[in-house]
Amino acid sequence: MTRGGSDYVSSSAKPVGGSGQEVFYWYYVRISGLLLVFLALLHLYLNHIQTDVSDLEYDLVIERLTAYPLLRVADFLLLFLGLSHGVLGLKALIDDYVHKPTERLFWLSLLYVVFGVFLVAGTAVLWTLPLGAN
Amino acid sequence: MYQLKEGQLAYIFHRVSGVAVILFLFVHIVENFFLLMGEEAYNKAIGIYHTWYFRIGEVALIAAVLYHALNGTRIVIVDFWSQSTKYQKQMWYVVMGITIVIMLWVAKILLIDYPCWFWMDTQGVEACK
Repeated sequence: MTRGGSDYVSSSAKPVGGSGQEVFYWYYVRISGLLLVFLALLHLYLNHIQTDVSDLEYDLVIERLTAYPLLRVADFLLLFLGLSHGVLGLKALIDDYVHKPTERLFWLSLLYVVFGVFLVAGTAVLWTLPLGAN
Repeated sequence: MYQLKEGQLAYIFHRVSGVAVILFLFVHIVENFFLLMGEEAYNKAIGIYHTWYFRIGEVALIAAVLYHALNGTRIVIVDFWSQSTKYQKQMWYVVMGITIVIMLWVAKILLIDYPCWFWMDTQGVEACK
C-alpha cells in the first residue's frame, strides 16, 4: 500500500496524505461519478431504448434540441462531467503504469491537450449549432 | 492456477469498462462535430452506427456504462460508509446481478425487438422502418 506520505492516492479508501490536488481529484471523481450515474443512464435510456439509433439523423438532433432547450444544458453537463471524469480515470492509469518522469510528462501532456481539444470541440457544437432551422 | 477474487474482478472490470467508455466518448464527440458541417456530412458520418457491428458495440457500450455506474456507486458507498466494507463482496454480487438483468432487457430490445440491425448495413436504415 502506498498510503501516507505518497503522491499517489489509492482508489480503495479515503485519501490519507497526498497533495491537495490529488485529494481534490479523489473527491471530484466520486462526486462527478454519482452525478453521471443519473445523467449517463438517462442519456442512454433516451437515445438507445426510447429511440433506436437507426432513427438517428441530423433532423432528429436539431428537432430535439429545439423542442427541449434544457437538453443543451444536460448535454453540456454530460460532456464536461463525462470528459473530466474519464480523463482523470486515464490519469490514474498513467499514475499506475508509467513511472519514468519523461514518459509521464509526455502522456500527461498529451492527455491534457486531448481533454482541452475535445472539451472545446464538444462545447462548440452545443454552442453554435443552428436550431429551429427546419 | 491463480484464482481471481471478487475484489480483483470488480477492479479489472471497472478499469476496462471505464477505458472503453472514455474511448467511445472521444469517438462520440468527433461524430457530433460533423453536425457543424451540415446535414449531409453528419448523416454520412453516423452511417457507421447503422451497421451490425456497431449494434453489437452499442450493447457492449451500454453494459460497460451500466457496470461502471453500479460498481462506481458501490465504491462510493464503501469509501464513505466504513460499516459497509463488511458487505462489499455481497454488494458486488448485487452489482453483477442488476447489470445482467438489465442487460438481458436491453439486449432483448436492441437485438430481438429490432431485428433489422442485422441487415442495416446492406439495406440501409429503411430496413428498420
